[in-house]
Amino acid sequence: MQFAKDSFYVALRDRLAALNPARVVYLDGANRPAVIVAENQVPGSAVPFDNAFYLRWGAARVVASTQRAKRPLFTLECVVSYRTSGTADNSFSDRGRTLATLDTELLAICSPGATAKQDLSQAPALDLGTKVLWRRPQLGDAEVVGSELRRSAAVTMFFFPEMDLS
Amino acid sequence: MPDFPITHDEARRHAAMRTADALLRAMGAVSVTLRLPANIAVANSDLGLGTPAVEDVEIGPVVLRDLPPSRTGARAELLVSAASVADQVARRNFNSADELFDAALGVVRDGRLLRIEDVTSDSFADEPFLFRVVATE
Repeated sequence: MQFAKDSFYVALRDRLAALNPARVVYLDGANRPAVIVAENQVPGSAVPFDNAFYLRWGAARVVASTQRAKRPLFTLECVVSYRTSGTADNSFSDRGRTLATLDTELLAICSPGATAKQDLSQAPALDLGTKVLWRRPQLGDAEVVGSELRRSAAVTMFFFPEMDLS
Repeated sequence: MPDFPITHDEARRHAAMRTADALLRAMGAVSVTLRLPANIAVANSDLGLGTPAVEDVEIGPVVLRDLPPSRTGARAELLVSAASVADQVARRNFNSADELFDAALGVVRDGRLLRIEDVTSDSFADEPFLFRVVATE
């Protein structure tokens, strides 16, 4: 499952870098595309970045129709959260427009909904021969928290495990 | 040390800071270690693979008080000298004490890393003279 999570994250990260190179965060001593896997960060008090996509993983389930297969198809829920306060240049009155830009970027980097599943723990990355697939993100309601607008989007991923399950 | 001559407001700020430091020392202050991320990029840290580089800095005087434990473990309150915080803010190029505490990974106490849960400050003449940091396991 870790390979599917890593492959999905790297696909979104690299696509965002190509789509909007200016959307970066300064994290762990480097400027990085603003896609962050929350569980890969050091637990601490660091305040979440504005205008960045945070990935959090949810439930993993076997697709019922493949239940008996040696390598059943799995689904994995991913929640993508992002927040914005708008820009100071516009007295923060453009937070709705900024959120819409983030929505559009998320939809763009999630398309097409497939990437090669790779083992990224080694260099160069090893292609594992199958793909990770996902549905288009379902955007939730925009939440108003103080002067911020926040949104979470749900993405369902599909992948095959790396080993036979008997 | 401030550059002399100093304004009346500046003098009041320094007086408040020095008074707070004297009070902390009188209460048996110690030094504590604040763990900060080092400014070094580590390959694959975004995948949770590389161990992020960290830097431990000592701040003090600090008065430590135990608080009732949280569900996750021990909790402590740290009354921190604003002068030592201001010194670290300046040395590490942060814009404010808030930025410093936001960036910190936690406080090391008896070899264990406590996460910073809350930071508040008391100010005089628009300058903090004491920080109250709540840290938890």
